[in-house]
Amino acid sequence: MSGELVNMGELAEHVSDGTAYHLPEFLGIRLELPTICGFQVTRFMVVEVVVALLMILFFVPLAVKMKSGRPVRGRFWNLLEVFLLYLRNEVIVPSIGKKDADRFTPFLWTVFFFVLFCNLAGLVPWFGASPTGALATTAVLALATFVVLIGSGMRKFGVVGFWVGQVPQMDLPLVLAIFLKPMLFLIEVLGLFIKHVVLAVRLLANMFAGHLVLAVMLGFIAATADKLVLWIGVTFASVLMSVCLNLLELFVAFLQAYIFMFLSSIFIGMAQHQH
Amino acid sequence: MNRKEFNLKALFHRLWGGAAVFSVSSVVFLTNASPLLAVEGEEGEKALEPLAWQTDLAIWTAVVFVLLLAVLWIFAFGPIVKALDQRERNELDRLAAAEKNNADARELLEQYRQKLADSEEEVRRILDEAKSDARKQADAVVAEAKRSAAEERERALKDIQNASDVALREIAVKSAEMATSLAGKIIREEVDPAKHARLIESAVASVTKQ
Repeated sequence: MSGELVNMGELAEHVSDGTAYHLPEFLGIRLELPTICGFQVTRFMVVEVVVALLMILFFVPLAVKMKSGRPVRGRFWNLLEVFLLYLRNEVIVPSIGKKDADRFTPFLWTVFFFVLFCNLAGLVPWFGASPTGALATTAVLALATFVVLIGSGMRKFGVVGFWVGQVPQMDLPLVLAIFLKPMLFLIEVLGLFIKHVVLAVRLLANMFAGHLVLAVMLGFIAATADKLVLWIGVTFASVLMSVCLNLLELFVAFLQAYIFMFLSSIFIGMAQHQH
Repeated sequence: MNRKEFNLKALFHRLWGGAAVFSVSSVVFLTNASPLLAVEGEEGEKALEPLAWQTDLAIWTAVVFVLLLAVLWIFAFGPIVKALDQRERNELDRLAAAEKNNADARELLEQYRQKLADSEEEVRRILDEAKSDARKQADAVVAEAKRSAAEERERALKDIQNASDVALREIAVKSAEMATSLAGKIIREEVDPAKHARLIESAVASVTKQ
């Protein structure tokens, strides 16, 4: 191990997507992911599938247990139920309204837990970084919110009604309205798109930055490996800081999942209750 | 206290020491190794591009997410939302039933309180009646006793009076007899037996009158 091993490419493989799993060096194993019918499987794809299976594994039995209408038994199931109830009662219902909330609750729960599990996957050693650290993932999730928002809005107000409703109601003189309302429409529609772009970028930036800082922190150890005395001090400090940052990352994983879902529910709620 | 302060100081020293080591090592590392981090790999390794777009991953994510959403909607979150709604309805029903039971219980309690109050009133009335009856009986007994005592007294007085009359009559008879015999002795020759008898009766009558 020497300083020459640590470069951007090496770091990039640890914080972004890749086609192989890096196991500890002493095992001498490098798991290359296959190409299926010309489609290259990557670590993030594997993580997403595992996350999806875990969610099915957790929530389908929970649904069976809750079907009776009685409170579930067991710490784990209660924990899951607490999450679901909190998100529904404290976030989704206040944002969207009691009447419409239940129609969007399954979608928003799925978004929250998918983002959360993807975020947490980045903290599992050798499992691969978080898929939410890739723009492709966060953009698709933001797009899903956007599609739900537009679809539900147009279903409720009609295609024309939804888009016209983007302009706030104002009692303007006709002359002013002719100039101002198209401009307001343009600003509001642009704002609608920008909000979702920001939704994607916010999650991406937080997850990517966290993993990058962790990787750089640990990269210090490899970079000073050829200077023994310095290496000991750097290793101690790097490990200490990495532990602290991992704890912060754990918090950020929950926080960003919450923020993504919270903003999604607010956007959907705004589409359901126009100006 | 001193020991605690000493420990805190030691902890701060250690933290400062760690931070100093970290800072120095960071500076040394950045001055020596930052070129290695900053320069893209010579053999064509990937550079860090946070905004790099991966169409394959986007399609994969969309497929996985949509399938996951469908599966969870049908088998998990949809039924859970229904179960929660059902639970809410059950709880509201139970709450309504509990409120109704509570109202019924309050009404029942009020009825029992009213009955209790009525019973207390009845008991009080019965006690008053009993006291009144007892007082009446006692008065009757006392009156009867008084009447009986008065009659006894009257009878006793009458008996005494009779006894007194008889005694006086006997005294009078005896006195008259004695006076008559005394007077007879004196005037033996002047009073015959018939006269003697009249004298005795007249003497008795006068004594009785007295």
